[in-house]
Amino acid sequence: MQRQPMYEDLLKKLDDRYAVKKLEEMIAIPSVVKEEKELAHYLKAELDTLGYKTELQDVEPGRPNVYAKLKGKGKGKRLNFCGHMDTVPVVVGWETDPFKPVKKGNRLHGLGSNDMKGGIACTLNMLRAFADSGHAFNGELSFAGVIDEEAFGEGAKAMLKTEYGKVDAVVLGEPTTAEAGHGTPLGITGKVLYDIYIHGKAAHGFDPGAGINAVEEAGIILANLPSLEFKKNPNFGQGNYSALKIEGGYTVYSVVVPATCRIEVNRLLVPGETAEYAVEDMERLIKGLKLKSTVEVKTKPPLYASYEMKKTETIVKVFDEAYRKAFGAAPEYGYNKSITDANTITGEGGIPCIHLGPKPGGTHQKNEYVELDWLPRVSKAYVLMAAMYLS
Amino acid sequence: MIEDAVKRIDDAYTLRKLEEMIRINSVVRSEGELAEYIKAELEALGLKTETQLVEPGRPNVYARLKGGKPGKRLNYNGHLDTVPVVEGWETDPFTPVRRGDHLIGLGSCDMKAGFASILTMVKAIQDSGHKMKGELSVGAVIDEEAYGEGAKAMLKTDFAKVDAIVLAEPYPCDESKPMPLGITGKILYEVTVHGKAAHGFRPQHGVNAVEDAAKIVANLDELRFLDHPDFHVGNYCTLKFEGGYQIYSVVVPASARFEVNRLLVPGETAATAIADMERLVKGLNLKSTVEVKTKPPQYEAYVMAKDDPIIKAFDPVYRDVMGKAPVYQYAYGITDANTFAGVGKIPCLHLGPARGFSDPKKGGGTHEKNEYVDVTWLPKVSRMYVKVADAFLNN
Repeated sequence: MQRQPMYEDLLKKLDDRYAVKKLEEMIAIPSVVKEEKELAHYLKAELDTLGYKTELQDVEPGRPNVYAKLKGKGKGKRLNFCGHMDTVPVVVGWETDPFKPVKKGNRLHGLGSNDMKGGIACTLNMLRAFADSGHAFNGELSFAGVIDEEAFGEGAKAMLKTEYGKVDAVVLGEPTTAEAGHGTPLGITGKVLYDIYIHGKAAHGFDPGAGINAVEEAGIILANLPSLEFKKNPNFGQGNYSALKIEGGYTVYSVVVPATCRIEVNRLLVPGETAEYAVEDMERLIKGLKLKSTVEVKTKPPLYASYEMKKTETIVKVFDEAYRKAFGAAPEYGYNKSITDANTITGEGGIPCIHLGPKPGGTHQKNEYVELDWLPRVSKAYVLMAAMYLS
Repeated sequence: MIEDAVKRIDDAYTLRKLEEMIRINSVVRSEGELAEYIKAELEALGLKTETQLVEPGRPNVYARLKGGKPGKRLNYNGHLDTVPVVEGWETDPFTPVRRGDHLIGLGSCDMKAGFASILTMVKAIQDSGHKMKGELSVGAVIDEEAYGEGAKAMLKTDFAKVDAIVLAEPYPCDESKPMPLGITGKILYEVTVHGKAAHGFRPQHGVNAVEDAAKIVANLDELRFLDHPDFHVGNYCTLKFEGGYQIYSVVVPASARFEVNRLLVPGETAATAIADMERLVKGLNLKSTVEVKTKPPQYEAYVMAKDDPIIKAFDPVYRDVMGKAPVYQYAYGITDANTFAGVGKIPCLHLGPARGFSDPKKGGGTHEKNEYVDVTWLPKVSRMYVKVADAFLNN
């Protein structure tokens, strides 16, 4: 209670126009996945100006993560605000230039406006308020801009290899509003991508009995996927599967029994199910089918671990209070199926994560937008979370 | 007398022609040069030839020997094309290589040896001055290894009215490859499955076309096959299956397609086969919409009577030359007879050299690497051709 006035000092330093300006500037910097470099340099320069200690980490040639930190007065916890710099590619159908911020009423349109340059803009707003206000805190406040979230999560994985891989909590600025139906996740499913190779035996197609049809046996595997054994989790229910791809048969027309076939199946995992379990489960299913083909069950990236957090986690309690203050309502929680960098940061790294960001529209679709009136409240929630967690 | 013609059979000529033809690349779609060669050879033997341009650069070639008296018409027929070169040839597929009795080369057995024997027969008849009744003709057609367009084109000419055809394909009419008294038909199902896209993490919001297509493929044994007294049942073979993302993306596939080859017995048609697949699909109660079509090539089944005149001419000739009875069968391998007999209703005899032994590592068989023909068959085939022509036409 005594700290309330100090928080007011921090909150006074929030600048909503600054947030919108930064968001517009970032939308105008194309950063489609694999092309994050320019945005990384922009963020480094901005954070340098704000007085943070910055560095770049070359995750892949020409694709750096960017980090920034501000050390507090005394020893304390380390809190990191993390955001992915990459956007999905441009899809067909944009009515405006995806790389031009276009305001229509409360909506600001642009590729990455909600996913997730809006969240990064609010983060910059909060970081600027912290630096400007000289607010006394303990521990360390940091930022991480990571690459590749929309593809294979290599940015988050690289972050775990740095000092930022040992922070005490992370806030992800993904467009999660903690409203009903869009609860902030206390856990997320993991995911494995089965890559299954079926090897049969070629023969003339007029004499199919002389061969082993790898395509037909692949069909049998797919038709029997409902026999996978899904573990039940009290919070998540159970995982699921979806066949994503099949390819097998002639390249140039020829009546030949196909000797090979390949299928890919996505599987969401609940806590308690590992990739190893999933592979064994598929092998068991296939064995039971008594196929004539030889079948190899492999997996291919990306692979993500599931996680579950307790509501009693410090960062969750801090978030809960900050959200109520900023939004005047209690936040909703959930157990989600949507993979984010938290699968790496929490699932692999064991660092608790909170997802909070401005309200989205058309994520991954044409004419993506963010609701501008969310930016101030999200920025406020970020400030309160950081101030409370690092007090 | 026919014996005069038989005496004039020039086995060295056969080998020479075969070697020359192997050297001419006539992989399917590139038959032009070999067609020119055969045209020139037939003209050199004193026959008037006709050319039918089936497709640009791809002609059928025909020639006739008109006999003195009116009578039946018999056509000796072969396909100009070979299959493409497959991987693994130890020698140049277009250079004839002799190893013992084996003559190795692409198309040596399937089916340039047959053509060589046809030319030998014509030469022997011309050289001997032996006159056949009716008309003896030769037809060299394109495209047998692909869509059978050459045979179809021949049915548009006056050769559609011949009384029988001898196909010089490698059918030695023994246990290894019996003489077909009928051949199955064939269709190629093309099944397209339309589902509904959704995020792959929420598959329940979509309809997975790949999974639904797989259910059809997994249940193809529900197809109903007519049990024919001679053929018994046809069969099916899935040839191809594709569906899903082009660029990685976790999306429920909205469409998938697969192709299934189906051999048909007499009594089954393309229409009954399509209806059969539609019935199977309906019974699966899939959420996807499914389109069942067919794509070319498509062939009709046929059967012939065991006492068909061409068989009655052939059987004693085979016994005489080969010293044993021929073996007959109801066969599962598509040839141009599916067009000539199946569509054209012309009785067909398949007669030619035996196929090479198919070694799992080295190939040797037809359509395989290192294809070869056993040259000791050629003299026997040439003699049978001459005698069958005589038996059929001069009766």
